[in-house]
Amino acid sequence: MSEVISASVHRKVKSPSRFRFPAPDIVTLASVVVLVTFLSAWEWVLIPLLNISPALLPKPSAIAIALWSGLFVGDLGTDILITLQEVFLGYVLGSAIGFALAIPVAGSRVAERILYPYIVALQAIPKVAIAPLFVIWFGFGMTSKVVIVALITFFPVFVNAVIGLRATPAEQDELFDVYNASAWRRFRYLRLPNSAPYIFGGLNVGVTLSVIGAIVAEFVGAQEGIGSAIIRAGFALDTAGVFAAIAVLTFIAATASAAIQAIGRKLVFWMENPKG
Amino acid sequence: MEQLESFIEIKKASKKFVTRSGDHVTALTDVNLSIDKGKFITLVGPSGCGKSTLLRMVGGLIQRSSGSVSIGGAEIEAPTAGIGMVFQSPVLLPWRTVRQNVTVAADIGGANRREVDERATKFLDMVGLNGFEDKYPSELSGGMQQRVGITRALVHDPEVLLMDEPFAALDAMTKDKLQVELQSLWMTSRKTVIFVTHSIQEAVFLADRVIVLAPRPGRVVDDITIELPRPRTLEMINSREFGDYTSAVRKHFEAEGLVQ
Repeated sequence: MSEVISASVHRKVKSPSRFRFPAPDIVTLASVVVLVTFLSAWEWVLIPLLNISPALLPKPSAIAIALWSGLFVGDLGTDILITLQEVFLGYVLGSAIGFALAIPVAGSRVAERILYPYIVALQAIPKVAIAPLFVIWFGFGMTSKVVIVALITFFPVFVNAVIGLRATPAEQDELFDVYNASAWRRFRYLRLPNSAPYIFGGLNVGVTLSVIGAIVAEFVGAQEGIGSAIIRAGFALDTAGVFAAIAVLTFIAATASAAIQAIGRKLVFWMENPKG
Repeated sequence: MEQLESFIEIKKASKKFVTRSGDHVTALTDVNLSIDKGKFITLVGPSGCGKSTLLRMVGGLIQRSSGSVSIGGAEIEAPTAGIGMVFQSPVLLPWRTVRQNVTVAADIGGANRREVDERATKFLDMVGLNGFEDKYPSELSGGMQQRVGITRALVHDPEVLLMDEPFAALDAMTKDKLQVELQSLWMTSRKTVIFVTHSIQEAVFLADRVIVLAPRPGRVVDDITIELPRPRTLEMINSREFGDYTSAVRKHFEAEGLVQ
């Protein structure tokens, strides 16, 4: 029994430079205090003292009211649903295509030489610059947004999946040689699990990019969505409304990213994570 | 006896390859070796003597440049189900539990699931891993990980067990313990074992026959039959006979040292 050693414990004890954080509830409390202090200073010190016009910078309370009325009186709820749909569909599509294309590219040098230049060229095109084209091609509706989100999500997932699918250690391959493993089983039992940590890295980068992609696409041309809500509020000089929409966007991106990380930790449980 | 074919026959086996810089290297030249069924053979030699190459040739993991290797009369061209292999590092898949690692052959090699499961339980018991079946490799010490590696190699019941410096990365005490365990495992199963090591003491302790290899080019320079009684104990290492065997092996290395 004494032979059971948790490998992760070892490594952490050895770094003397590393600051050891106090219990997490105190940390949480401290970060809440920071937030409350920041918002209070904004509300009761910054705005009254400098006499800033609400059209330039509204008080946090005004933003909260704008958020509340947007959700329960205005159309912000519908806009959120639309944007969430665009992000979700585009993200799933982009990730799936990224992963699917990574398989041949990672598996064969020939496929890599044929496909890689085009994929890199595709990535070199600034997606924001071609967003108007997609609106022309696919209209003002959801399709153009989904396509742009997919395009923007595709690359990080693709690149990471290629690296991950090639990350199988040589000695694991030799083990599978001993059993005369078929290409499919090698993929299923070796390449795929070895690539999972990398793929989740790509998915995590992709998730924040996908929210940006959806908003940019909506800026270019849309009647609905959070991006279009920001444009509408901006034109109306409803600065509090703009801030409210930004707050919602931040919340969506942060939540989605946290969800992907949580799923990643669950599925890729064998990798050491830096937590605790 | 000379005319009869042994279980494993290696005849004039050579391995040459070209390095990336274009140099021709002879890893192994003109190796002749006959190994009887159920014997424990150790291959000992300094690095670069081609002992791992020879082991992989027998396993069909690398192609030989010339000569022949046969097991039970069948020429070896590719890995077969009759081979079990233990590597220097345990090569466990970190996402699989101990039991799932041990039975990996059933997933990838088409080995019979039920038989593999039964033998897994038996061997895990034998190497003292019962109670650890559902642990992940990262929760085990290096010695226990290598026990899992050995169990995995035995679980599809191969006729030949190939071991490539399996204890080289372990601390001295664990190494001693595992050598004794391996001996008793071998005495009950009577597999034909080819065991590569660079430790002379380990080679003598485990072997029925120590094959001594020398480098540049890799070749067999001696073949010493060890007649120490079994089961061998760690105390025997200090005995006169044991010392005679180790010096017989060591003198080849010293001779090599003078040549270089």
